[in-house]
Amino acid sequence: MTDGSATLLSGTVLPGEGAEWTPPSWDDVVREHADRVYRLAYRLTGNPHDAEDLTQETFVRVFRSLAAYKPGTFEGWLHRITTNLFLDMVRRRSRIRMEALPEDSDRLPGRGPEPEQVFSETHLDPVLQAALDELPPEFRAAVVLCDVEGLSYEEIGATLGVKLGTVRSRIHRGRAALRSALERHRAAEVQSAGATAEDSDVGVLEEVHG
Amino acid sequence: MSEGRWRITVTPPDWGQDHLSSDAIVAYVDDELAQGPHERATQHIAACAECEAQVRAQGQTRSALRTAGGPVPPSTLLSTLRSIPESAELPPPPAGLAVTPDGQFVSVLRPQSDILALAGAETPPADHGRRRPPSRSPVQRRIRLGTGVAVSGLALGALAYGLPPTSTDPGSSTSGPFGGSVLGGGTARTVVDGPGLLDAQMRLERAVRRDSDPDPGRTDSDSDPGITSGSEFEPDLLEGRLDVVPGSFIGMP
Repeated sequence: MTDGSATLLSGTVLPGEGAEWTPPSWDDVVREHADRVYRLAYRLTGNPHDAEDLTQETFVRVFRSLAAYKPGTFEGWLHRITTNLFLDMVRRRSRIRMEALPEDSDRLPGRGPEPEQVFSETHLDPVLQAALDELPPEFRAAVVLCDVEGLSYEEIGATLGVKLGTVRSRIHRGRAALRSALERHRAAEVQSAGATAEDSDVGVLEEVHG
Repeated sequence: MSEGRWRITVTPPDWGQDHLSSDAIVAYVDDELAQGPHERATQHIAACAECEAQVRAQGQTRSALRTAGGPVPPSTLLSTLRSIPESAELPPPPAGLAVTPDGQFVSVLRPQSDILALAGAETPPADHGRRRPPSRSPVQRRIRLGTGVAVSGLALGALAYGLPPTSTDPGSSTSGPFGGSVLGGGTARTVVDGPGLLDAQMRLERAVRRDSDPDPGRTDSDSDPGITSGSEFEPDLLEGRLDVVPGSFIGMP
């Protein structure tokens, strides 16, 4: 096979695509993108366990379709896979919860696990993550893509498959809700700090009655 | 009369035009406004405490997130990610691609010119139809197409193993699950099912083994001109395809 006919063949099947591009090794892919995907997964899911699962699932998907990778779109591709896997996961879980726990109404929505017990091993601001966790998933995704990943509105719209107006309103409302959740969590923190400083008997009493 | 007009002009709802919309505020904070609107918004915010407070609130939340540290993936996760190529369950190779024994993707699609070259040597499908049970359904026909690609895959595999192209003969064996084989011909450019390609790999192994002992399927080979002619020109054509990736594969997610 001569060079000329090889060019002709690839030209026939694959017009204008980078024939000179060589795919990265899998170790390169993991080294370059694991931090970013994990950070996104962590901010979206709010806990290390789910973040690891989501990161792993994202990389499995990437590996399966690595041959389809077009140079220059890798980050966008990763964002899209991670975010959509997260939203799928949330929908699947809420469906399971609805079916399995119809009387679990005494659990207040938005009351997550104690932040300090989940996040103590990381450098994350636990209050910030707890406030993020209170946002509805679609709003959380928009805010995280904007403020953690630094995507433009256009990129966020492409990632989530929504229009620019929807991106704007999700970020605006998401940040507003995040802000009030942050204020509430910080106020609660101050209050509990004050309570532990007071007489320990009062603390026990409150716990019994609470 | 003039009194009425005067009254109308002095009572516009002041929330309508005097404040920025929430869309404008968030886009201002994220620097997503065009230059003109951005300048107008800047002017307005300088004069309007209410909008200024909203911009500040959005901006504070934004920077709280942006300045927060990122979590670092645990080392166990990193090693899990690195081992994905060994551990991940893989789907069948994408349409039009097969995997060589050393893990390379190769195209088994026929470029258009090859199809034309093949057309003369092809057995007309009607001829096959007469030799087959009359109950052939469209599904079976699709499977036969897959088998046609399986033959190409066999030839590729044979090249990779350094076997002479004639070892692709077992593709025509009637003992295979899909019956006799048909070289792709005019329809081979259509999208081909993955399982057919996988089958090609499995058949390759059988073919290699079968090569050493007398093959009953081989008696059938002369009745299929597609295979016979294939053994003459396959090596050249396939060699040329080793680095060809079909356009249909590029657009995947």
